[in-house]
Amino acid sequence: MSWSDPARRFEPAEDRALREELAELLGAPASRNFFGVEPTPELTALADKLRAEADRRRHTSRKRPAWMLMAAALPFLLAVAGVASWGVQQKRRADEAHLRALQAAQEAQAQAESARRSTQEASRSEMQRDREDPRSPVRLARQGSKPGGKVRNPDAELVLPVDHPLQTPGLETRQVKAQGQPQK
Amino acid sequence: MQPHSPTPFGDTRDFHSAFAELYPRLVSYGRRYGATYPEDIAQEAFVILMQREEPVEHPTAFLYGTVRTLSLTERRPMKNQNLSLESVMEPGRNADAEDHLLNREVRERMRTLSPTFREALWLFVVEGLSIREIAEILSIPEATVKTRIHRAKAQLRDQLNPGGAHVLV
Repeated sequence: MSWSDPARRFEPAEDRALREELAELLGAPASRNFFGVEPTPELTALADKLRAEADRRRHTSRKRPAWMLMAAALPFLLAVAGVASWGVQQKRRADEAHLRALQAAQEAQAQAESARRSTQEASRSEMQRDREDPRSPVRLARQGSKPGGKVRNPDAELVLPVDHPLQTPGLETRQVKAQGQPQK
Repeated sequence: MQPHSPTPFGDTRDFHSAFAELYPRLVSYGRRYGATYPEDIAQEAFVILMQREEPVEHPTAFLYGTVRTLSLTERRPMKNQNLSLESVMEPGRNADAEDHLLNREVRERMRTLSPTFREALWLFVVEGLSIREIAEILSIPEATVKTRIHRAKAQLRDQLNPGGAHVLV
């Protein structure tokens, strides 16, 4: 498509009308012919010179190859990968330690529970035994301490046999005079 | 598929023709942005355009945008200058002397517009660029360009008919 082709600079009719209107308001020259300028030899020479300069810059501009950029980024990538793997490892270790602690706590809890149950079982069996044994001191004590029990079992009394009857010896008394008091 | 052109404007003849048309306008455009060496900037813009490996959809807009950027970059040491075409209209600039397109009355009317509207209006009317090209140059949506142009039109109507009612179309 040519530079001067109107299709290159398609513009809606309303925009063109607005431009004309504004030009009138300003008192500026109406529309200018933007594509009717004939290039002078000086301008053509300058254009060619600039084009050559652009070509020169395009060909001399140093382009860094992709592998060079990759090589430059490699240490950084390695460092990131190392830190990431170390972090993952630490996380795994922490998870394992947590799991072990959890298991130990569960085992301790189970042991405590079984010990409590065995203690309860022992006390329960002891109480059962006491209940079944009529000579059990506990049972006797319970029967004796009953508030409503009027008849006591004599077997329940603790009797100590005595060979000699108890005698209370007579009291020996003696009068003692105090110092300085005449004797009778 | 479109065959690859030797230049962004087509063949060599088209390129010469486009260069003859665009180069003076780009020099003038760069000077309006306060560039010290607008010829160098315009030439650099052409070289950058032709140096590109990938084709440019709107070469004219690309050239204007490049000249605008290079001109503003050249003036950057002066800092804190949100430059637009406002500097163009200041008296004493060479642009006035070299501007044979616009007379004093037009310049006065343009100067009364806000810089944002003036820039869009200038590119649309004086440079003859399309809405799409202006949007590409200024890096703004096409709808914004249209809004700016219509508001500039309303301001111009206000100048011509002060106190009169107008309808923003």
